Amino acid sequence: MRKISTLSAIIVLLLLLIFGGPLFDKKLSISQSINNLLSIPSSRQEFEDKIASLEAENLKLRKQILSKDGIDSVSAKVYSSYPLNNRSEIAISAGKKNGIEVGDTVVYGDNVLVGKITNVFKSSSIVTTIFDPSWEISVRIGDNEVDALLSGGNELTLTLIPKEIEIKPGEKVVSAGSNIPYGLKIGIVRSVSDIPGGVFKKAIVEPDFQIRQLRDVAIYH
Amino acid sequence: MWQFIISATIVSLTAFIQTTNLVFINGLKPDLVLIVLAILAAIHKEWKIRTPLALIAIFILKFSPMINWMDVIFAATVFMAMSLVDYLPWKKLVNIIVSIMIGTIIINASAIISVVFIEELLLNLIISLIFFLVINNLYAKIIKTQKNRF
Repeated sequence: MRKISTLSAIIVLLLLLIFGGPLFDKKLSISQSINNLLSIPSSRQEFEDKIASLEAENLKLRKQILSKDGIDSVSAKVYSSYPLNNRSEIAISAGKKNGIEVGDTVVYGDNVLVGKITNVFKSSSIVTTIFDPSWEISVRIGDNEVDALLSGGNELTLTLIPKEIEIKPGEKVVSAGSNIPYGLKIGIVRSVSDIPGGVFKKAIVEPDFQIRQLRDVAIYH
Repeated sequence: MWQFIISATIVSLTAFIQTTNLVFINGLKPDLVLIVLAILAAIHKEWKIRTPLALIAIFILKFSPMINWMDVIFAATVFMAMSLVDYLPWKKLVNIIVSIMIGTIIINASAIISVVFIEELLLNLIISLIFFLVINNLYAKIIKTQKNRF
């Protein structure tokens, strides 16, 4: 009797794993509830970060209301983030029913680039973020708008920077890729280094956000 | 029965926590589910208990409605880690740690030669030791309570 009930439980779990797709959204909202329950800001710095991000979002929303050229965007909650370290993805609470499409750009706060939509379901979507190892886009650095290539990963790296061009730590990095709105903030240059024997140099970027800060994002069509 | 319920609760909670933004340490997520399953494999020797626990974790961690290659790799890694706990010739704690390290290497096979990977290995090692102490003591108390009852 026990053997049969154990076998039945295993079969049910296997079926859930293979055919449990419709439960995906429910699972994400449970993740979000646990996240909200356990994420009590434990330090003054976290409160200050939260206030800063809310002020930035408020400013952005005011600009949109006053602007004659409104931006077509949808806002969404961040449900959860990819559980392993070999990818950087987040699940958000907007999907096909909100008009979201693969390739849409996702931003945070005051036009800070988060990533792109890579999978869309009925009421949720998966976003590949700029921290994903496969992420690559063209960017521009500083007031001189120096072209470079941004590669994702735990550390954001700028490559293909001509050796003769001077780049200083603190210079702003913005998006300049195709299929992404121009000028979205990515971060600032943290350090610059020469590649021995190469014609280019590389730089490390300090991003404008961390995945763990994300609660609300906006999706641009 | 009670031991299975407690284990299933620990695995479910750990898996849900691993999908949140709470567990980032220096930009990295430790492989909490792999650690918990390897430790529970040392406590539950029967596969009829280990299998449902692993399947629960894999279902919760699945990051899309469909099954993709990463889900299969993760499932294979988890079952392999639980098997290694039995087959490695050393003490229980060492077997657990080695199986978690091998599991971490397999999951991150594309980025082994990197500082980030070394950090993740160290993080998993430290958390394994902490979780082993907590879970082992918890189950020692449960077993003692059950023995006293009978």
